[in-house]
Amino acid sequence: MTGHRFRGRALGAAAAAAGLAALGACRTASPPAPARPLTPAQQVARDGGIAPYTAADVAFMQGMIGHHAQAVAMAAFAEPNGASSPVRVLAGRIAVAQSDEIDFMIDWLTRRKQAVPPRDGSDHAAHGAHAGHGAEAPGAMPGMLSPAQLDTLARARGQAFDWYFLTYMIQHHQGAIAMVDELMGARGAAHDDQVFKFVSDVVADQTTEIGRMELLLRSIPRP
Amino acid sequence: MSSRAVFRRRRAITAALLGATLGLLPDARPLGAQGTPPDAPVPDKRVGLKGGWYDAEQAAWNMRLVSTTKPSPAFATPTNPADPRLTNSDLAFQGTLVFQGNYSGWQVWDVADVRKPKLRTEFVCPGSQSDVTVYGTLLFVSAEAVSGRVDCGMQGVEPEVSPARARGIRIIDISDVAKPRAIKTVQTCRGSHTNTLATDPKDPEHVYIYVSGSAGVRSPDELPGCSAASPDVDPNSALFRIEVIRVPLARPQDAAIVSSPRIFEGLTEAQRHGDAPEDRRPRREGAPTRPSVAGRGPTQCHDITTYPAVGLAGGACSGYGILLDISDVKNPRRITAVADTNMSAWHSVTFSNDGSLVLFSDEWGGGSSPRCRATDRYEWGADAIYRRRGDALEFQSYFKMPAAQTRTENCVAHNGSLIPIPGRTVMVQSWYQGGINVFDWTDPMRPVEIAYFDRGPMDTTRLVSAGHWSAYWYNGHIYGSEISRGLDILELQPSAHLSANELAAARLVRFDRFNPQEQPQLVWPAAFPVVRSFTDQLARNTAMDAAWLREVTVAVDQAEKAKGAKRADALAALGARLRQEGARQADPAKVAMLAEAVEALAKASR
Repeated sequence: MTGHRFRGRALGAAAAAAGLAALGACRTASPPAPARPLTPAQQVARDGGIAPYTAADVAFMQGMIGHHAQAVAMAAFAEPNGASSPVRVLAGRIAVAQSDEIDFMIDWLTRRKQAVPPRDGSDHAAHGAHAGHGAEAPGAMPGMLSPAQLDTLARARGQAFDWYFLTYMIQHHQGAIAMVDELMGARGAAHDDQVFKFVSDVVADQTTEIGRMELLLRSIPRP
Repeated sequence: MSSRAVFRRRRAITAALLGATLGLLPDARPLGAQGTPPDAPVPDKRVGLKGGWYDAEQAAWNMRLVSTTKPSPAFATPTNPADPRLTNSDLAFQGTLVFQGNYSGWQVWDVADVRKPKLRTEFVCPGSQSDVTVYGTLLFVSAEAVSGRVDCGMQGVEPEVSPARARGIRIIDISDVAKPRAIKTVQTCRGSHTNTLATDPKDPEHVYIYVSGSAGVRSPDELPGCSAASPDVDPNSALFRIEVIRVPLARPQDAAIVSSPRIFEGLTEAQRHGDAPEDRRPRREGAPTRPSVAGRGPTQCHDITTYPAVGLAGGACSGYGILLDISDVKNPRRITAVADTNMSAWHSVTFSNDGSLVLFSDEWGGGSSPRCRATDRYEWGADAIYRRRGDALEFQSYFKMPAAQTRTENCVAHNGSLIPIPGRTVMVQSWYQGGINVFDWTDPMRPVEIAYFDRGPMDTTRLVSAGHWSAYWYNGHIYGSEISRGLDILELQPSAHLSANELAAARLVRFDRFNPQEQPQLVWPAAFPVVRSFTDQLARNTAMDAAWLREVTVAVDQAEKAKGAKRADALAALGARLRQEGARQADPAKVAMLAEAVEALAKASR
């Protein structure tokens, strides 16, 4: 029943009036269509432009901000650490793309009056926490670099940097995709068109980049 | 330095770009050097426009807005600008009807009077993206979202597995466009992000729909056979393939998937690997499983453009641009594939009319992000133009809408189509809140912008989704699907870059039906505007012998004044002269095109 507390009063009324499915609620089948359903425009006017969403959607956005923040932080090493040209181009694009997506997630959460984590991910284990070397800390998001991995990346130079960057970013991207998969397995999740489009784009972009990184990695020896 | 000066940079030279310092913009070049002609207005009229919904400030150069029609009532609310559920999407054309998709359904406009389009139908059916394709009495609509229903209801689909969910192609009977009737939903594993019509001249009783799906694979409990496993583990994997639906025109209710070509097979053969243990993460029940994509090539296409006249299709497929042989329409075969460090999400494809050039667009960020800021690179989120050389594609240049946009404007390369200018490759393209522009890529190394239309941001305080989803030329006008503002109709105005004759010639090319992702071949009738298009193009060439060209244009004028056989004789004589003297002129190839147009007109005048 967790979905309920994320729906505003206005939406609850609209849902009742329109016979909307109570997303995230404990139902097993969709209710029958109402006799006189609202048009999409009427529904938007009734719910104030906030489509139904669930606790899983909120948790995903809140977590993914920190996840993206780490990718942006990793990309920032490329220039000072002497990455090769292709890796710098890749890192540049990742930095822009994931910064823009952080903006989107902050906006999405703000509009729904949900808690917004810091955009630099400083609430996550990236800094300070003494987690195990290379191992995911309990509760950590999939694909997140451990402090030891971050340290390795920060110290690596040139071709060694390329290798660690690509290896860790593939791990990081696979983690993001796993987070989307997890979300899509949650009841009623991603029914908001904005969420659905966002997660579809995250998967499409990062899947493409993983392929590209695998290609680059093939020509670099393990340090 | 103005933002525009920063933004406009040298045509990308890959090596230089690769060496470019991250976050900096090297190679800054003087105004007007990057994709714009020297006479373009300075400063660019698109920079600094005031924001607003229907009252946003507008800028136009060499084109004019004829009308803006707000979305139909079911998809328009005066209180909530830019709600994603009311997103207007792609367009298709038949007769005087324009079919406009919307994330919550679709609408049909009669544009017999372009100043006042009339609503014929609004059809509520949520499911996004509602990419539309029309063929006679049938309309095909893409359904992708997890909330779309077979019965088109508004209530969504709550359970993870439900027979009520519609993901795939909805087939609608539009024989009475005022009373559309849903015939069938052909369900697919990944739903349909876009769809493309493919026809086979040898098989007039069927049409084919190429389905590109880029969202997650659904559960086999919902649609039997759907598998998100690696093809190494499950040969029936729904990944790494497209779907082909065959539609019997006499019995559209029997439409079904006829093949699922693995057009990426072998693309990255050397990188294939087995499903590794680390690829298998424990999943919550109901969650789809996803294999590692590691180096397998793309798992999907975003969009496919068929060009039946040359037997080719172009696929914009994740990290690759792909050229397909579609002579066997059910079994498209990959000819070649290209990747490019600067291209992220290959999005759509346009062929030059002779098929020798292929333009791929890169919808980097999926159209939700502001990728035309002064700090964004020219070659990121742009078009990449290739030349076909045998079975290979050779990179020529990038092109991007060159005016810097704000951080609250989503902007990246999106849908467009050719404008039928004889002898040139000219295209109109949409760039979301970057507006619409028209550019010439006849010389694929030096694409140049020749007209534009743009509005200020929908919202100056935050990024909301708006702008042009698509912009297409259809029978004389440019139609723009505006995500949050409705349907824009524009017309091109004569300029130094596009003469009145060239525009008149373009308007002579008319289609009964136009699905932009099924590219039609442009064929011009024998007519004086076509002849004069070529003389106008020769006149732009400063190396031409002006006196000689003046004699030719006088001869054309005199031929037009003559009637019947006299006209035919005059044209025939001119044609002979052009053939004889053309080789000595500055642009023999263009003179030969002129000669051909003159000869065709001579023949038609008899």
